[in-house]
Amino acid sequence: MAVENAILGVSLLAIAYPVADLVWSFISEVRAKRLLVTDQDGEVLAEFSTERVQQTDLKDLEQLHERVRRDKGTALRAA
Amino acid sequence: MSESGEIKERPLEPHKEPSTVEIDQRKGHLSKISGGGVGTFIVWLSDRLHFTEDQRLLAATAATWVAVAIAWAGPSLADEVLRFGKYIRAKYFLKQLDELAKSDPTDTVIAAKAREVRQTIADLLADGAKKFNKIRPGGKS
Repeated sequence: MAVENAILGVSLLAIAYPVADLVWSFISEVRAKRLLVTDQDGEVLAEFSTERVQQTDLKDLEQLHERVRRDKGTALRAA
Repeated sequence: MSESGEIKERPLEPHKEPSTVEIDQRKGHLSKISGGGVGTFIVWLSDRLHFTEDQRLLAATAATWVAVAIAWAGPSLADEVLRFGKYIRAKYFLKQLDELAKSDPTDTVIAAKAREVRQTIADLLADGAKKFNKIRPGGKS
């Protein structure tokens, strides 16, 4: 019985941990304060927030868009 | 805003986010863990339900393949879930930006910026979706 319970506990833990991690990551994505554009290595290329966009030059935004189109490793991150 | 009323330039934080490889590795590890967990649970359940020897053998064999399937599809499914979260967040941000552009219709620069940001975000989200499409039957990469 103890072995059965231990197996059940381990399996439920192994299921619950990744699911909880995914749910937490999803909530973090939705509730993020800022959106970041990063390259493949995680280097932050730009930060999107209404305040930041107001300050950024249109030319810089166009260049960023060009880079996103060209470099397929860029990604959108929540922060 | 500073005391004089002008918007103060906040420097971009020099911090580095985890690389794409690191994120993918984490998703891979967690998928393998959950695959193992589901496989173990199937074996436990087959024992609990007092299956016959043949049924137990079948369940144990199926559990292995279920674990493999979860470990294989898990990262892509997790990607899709998180991309949906990003989509919700981006939609809210773009709504804010559109409202800002509408607040001053004479300012064409902010409207152009909003368009550019919208297009950039759309491209970034579409790039992420391509990965998921690869495993979808008939999906184009």
